[in-house]
Amino acid sequence: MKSKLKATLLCTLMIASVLAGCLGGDDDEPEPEPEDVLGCTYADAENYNPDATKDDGSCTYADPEPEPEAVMGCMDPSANNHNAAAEEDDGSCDYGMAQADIMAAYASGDMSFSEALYELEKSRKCREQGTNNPCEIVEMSIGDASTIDPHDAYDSASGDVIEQVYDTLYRYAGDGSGNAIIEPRLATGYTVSADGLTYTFDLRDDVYFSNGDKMEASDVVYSWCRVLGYGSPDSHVGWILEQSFDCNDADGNHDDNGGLSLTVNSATSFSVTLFAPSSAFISTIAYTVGAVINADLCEANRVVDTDADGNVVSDDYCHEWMDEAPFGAGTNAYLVQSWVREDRLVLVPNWMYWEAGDYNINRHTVSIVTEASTRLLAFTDGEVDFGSINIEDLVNFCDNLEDKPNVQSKDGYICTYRETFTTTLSAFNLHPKVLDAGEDNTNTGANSSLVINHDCDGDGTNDCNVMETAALREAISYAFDYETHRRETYDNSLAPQYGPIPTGFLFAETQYEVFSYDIAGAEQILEDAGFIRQYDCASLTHGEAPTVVAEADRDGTECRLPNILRVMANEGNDYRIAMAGQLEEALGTIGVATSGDAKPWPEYLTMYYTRTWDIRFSGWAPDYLDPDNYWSPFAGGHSIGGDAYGTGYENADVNAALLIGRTSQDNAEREQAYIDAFAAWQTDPNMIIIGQYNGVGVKHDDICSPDWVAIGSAHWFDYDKLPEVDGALVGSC
Amino acid sequence: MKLHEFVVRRLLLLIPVMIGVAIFTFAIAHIIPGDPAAIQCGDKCGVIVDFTEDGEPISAYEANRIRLKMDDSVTVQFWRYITDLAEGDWGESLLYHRPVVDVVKDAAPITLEMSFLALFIAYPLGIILGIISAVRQDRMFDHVSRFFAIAFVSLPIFWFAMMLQLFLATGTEHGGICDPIFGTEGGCFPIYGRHDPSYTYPVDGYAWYYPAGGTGFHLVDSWFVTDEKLATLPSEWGSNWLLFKDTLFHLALPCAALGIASAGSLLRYMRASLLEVLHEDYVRTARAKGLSEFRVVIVHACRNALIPIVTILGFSIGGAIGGAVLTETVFAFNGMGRVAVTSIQYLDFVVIMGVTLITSVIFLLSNLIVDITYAIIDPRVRLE
Repeated sequence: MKSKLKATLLCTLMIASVLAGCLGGDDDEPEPEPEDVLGCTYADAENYNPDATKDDGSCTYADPEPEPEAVMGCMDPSANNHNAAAEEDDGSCDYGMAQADIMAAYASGDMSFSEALYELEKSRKCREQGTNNPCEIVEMSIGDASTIDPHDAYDSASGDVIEQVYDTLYRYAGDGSGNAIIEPRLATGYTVSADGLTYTFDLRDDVYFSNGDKMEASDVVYSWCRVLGYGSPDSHVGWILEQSFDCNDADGNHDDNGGLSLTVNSATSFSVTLFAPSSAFISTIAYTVGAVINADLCEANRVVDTDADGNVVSDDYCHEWMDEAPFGAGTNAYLVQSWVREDRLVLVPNWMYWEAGDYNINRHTVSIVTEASTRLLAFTDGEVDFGSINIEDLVNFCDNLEDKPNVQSKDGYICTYRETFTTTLSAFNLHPKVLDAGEDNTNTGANSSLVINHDCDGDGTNDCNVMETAALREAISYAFDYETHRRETYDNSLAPQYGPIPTGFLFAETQYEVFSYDIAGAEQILEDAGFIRQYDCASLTHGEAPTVVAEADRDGTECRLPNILRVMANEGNDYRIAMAGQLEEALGTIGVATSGDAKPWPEYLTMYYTRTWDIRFSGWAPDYLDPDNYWSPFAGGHSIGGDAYGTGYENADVNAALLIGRTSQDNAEREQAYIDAFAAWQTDPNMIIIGQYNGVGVKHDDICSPDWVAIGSAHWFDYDKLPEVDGALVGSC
Repeated sequence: MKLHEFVVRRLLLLIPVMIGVAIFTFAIAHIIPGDPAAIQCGDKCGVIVDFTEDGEPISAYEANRIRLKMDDSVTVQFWRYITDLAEGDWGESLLYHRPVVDVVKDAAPITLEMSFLALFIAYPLGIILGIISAVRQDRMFDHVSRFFAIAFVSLPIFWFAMMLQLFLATGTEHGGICDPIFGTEGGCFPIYGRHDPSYTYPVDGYAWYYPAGGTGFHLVDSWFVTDEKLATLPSEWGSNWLLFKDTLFHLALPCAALGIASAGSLLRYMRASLLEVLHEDYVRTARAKGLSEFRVVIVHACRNALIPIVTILGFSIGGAIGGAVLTETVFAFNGMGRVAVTSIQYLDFVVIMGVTLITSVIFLLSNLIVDITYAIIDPRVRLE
């Protein structure tokens, strides 16, 4: 009942509502239009009126937001005031004063040293930006410099630093084709007197030491005389200059300022008179021993001790001061900023450096890392830019290593073929000795005695050693397997060398291939020379008399020489050991008995010095860029200042030719002299010349280096390191 | 005997021991085959470098022998060596061209800093693992830790050092397993050196920054670099803390190589010692009293088990210095190890003798300290 009531009420209510709507108004009477509300109807206007229904044109707007202005500034990273945030270059870049202007102002006294230094740094410093520290090079070396005093340094590690700090009148450089040349540095030229004895040098007049002192001719004279006066007691490098001149006065006493031989003509000119004409003189003074140091500073730091009578007890010629290349000592591109021995050495620019141009490298660090695996990891990992990488590890960075001249680089690296002037050879000892009873190879004071076992003059009595016979040495030369060793033993790291002069040196073309592996020919030479198979091999020693087998009892296995030849190689040098082994084996097949354990290096050297050897595998690196630096030490006799190995070799024809080659100022005459020397030497060889080292250098591909310098050192001023930006190198070498 | 008497007596005993060492090293140096004069000039010994007053040529080799006074008799040379030594003149190095005292003075702190830090790694690691290994005897942990202990003792230290370099110092693209933490490219630790190669320091090298009379331990000296000198450094090394951190990061791998190798043997010693002690009656008594196993092991057993460990501290220091020869070579630290190796290669006798002497002194002093410590911690030991 209740629900029926509710439904009725609800329906009534609905019907009533509808009816009420219909009855609410008359459709024929229009509703009055609502009155418009005037105002600003634009929502983005400052005076927008949300109630306005009609815009009355009153809208006002705020000033539009100014466009953000571009950041103005210098956008050139090479400028002093480079603004990394700049978006638009405003032409304000400051590159500092030009180097030439600064130096001119300094020279005229318009600018102080500190001002000049400040301006030069602003003008010349490397400013490249990148994630790879493009203004810094880190290098790993296996050995540290022994000293940075150029007048007592004879090792390449020292030379590598010295060449950055000190300058010479001339220096070695590469010509881009593997040949070495000499280029002027502090000298602008020279003249030679008609007798070839007096050289007069003209010097640059724009060179300053790193402390601002001007370099003058008197500095050169003092420097060269310092070499002779100090005597290079640690290294003996002074011999390179000592062979040419002295600085003695009329009484024969050493004069630090030139004596009779060196004369200062003016601030930019001096003369030096040699003992004898020397075609290699310019080359000798291009070696680091000819470096020019600051004479005034050296004198100021020289320590001279005298006894009670005023006699000089010791004179260090400022070596202690020079030992670590102090500020102001040199004129070259870099300064030694710090040196922690056997750890690291840091070079930074000498802003006063005379050569025009800016620095690409502001800091060069040399770390000493002796462990090969550590060097490999550090290089691979990019912690260093380059360093000494072992041959066997090159495969990680280079391809086509079996053909080294055409080596290819892997991504990220640059592999470069380098032919060096380091020669490997095997010398013959013409005057071999044996140790006396009770002595051994460890005793350099041993009274070793000559082995006399051959009749050289044909008078029926022994008066020489068999090694004095040219035919025997010639035969040994044919018993060596040159090609196999160059190709296999040295894994193609040895280029052929046919005479003393290595390829890349002046007059290297005066030599040609004479000796090759010909064991039958070698045996025939011995046979023809009378070295027949006659000695009981078991009876042979190094120095005792052998047993001769009766002719009727000979079976062809007898030995040809009356003694055993000692073939020396040193432990740790597998190349030399392999070559010695091959030669011994080959000689054995033609009836020449040999012995030759690889010796530890100290013992090897001691045997060398006591002359208790017959054939010795060795090497030679150049001192200066002249054929005489190879010919004389190798094949020149002791009588002409040669025979560095003390072999007793003297060939009059070779000596005569070498003297002409050494002294003549005429290149054609020199060339003929070396042709003559080679012709005489090939019939009387005193060593097996095997080859010259070549190799492959590797560096990261952001390093740009100048032409390879096979003699002397790299010059960091000529290096560049490309910046890496966003993972890519900017620019190219 | 009182402690101070014991110390004085042992210090006095150092004198004859040092004389013995000097004689021994001098003899060894002169027995070694080879000739320093010949090594100095190598292939160019024959080059004529001078002439006598009579005009006789003097070769580079002969000049070297004259300079080194090698033509004097051995007895004269020995007497000169001993008297110079007594006057504090240890001679001048042929290789370094410096007084041996200076060479050793520079090198010794490098080796000692590395060795001490290595022992700080080795002892806690070895002792803690040894304790756990003993407590968990013949369980998995014991087997695994013993395996690694033997491995670390047996593996050549240079190989272990190289593996650390490969995995922890190179970038992940070159075999490394972690990214740089501080100041290096490549892996999380530097590959080599005592400081970052880009570390800029001026003319006098480290000495300029690190105070004169400093310890030579850069972990310590780095805190005494003055603000004035710090201001000259690039920002990445511009505070004492950053210098310390640079040193510490460069020491991490060499010390780990040395320390972990030593930890292996310490683990074995500690384990054996603790196992022995754990079977003692007093340990059983402690357990019977209801003490917790932790207290029984740590407080009662370890205290006695550690006594033999202290005795090998002296040997550990000697071992660490010995191991430094290889570690320093791999990580390019120019400490006494590398100095010794280089000097032997060049037969630089005076340096070899100097390094041997100073190493002997360190070894003797460390053993003296061990003896004193031993006497203090074990009252049963009497000083005699």
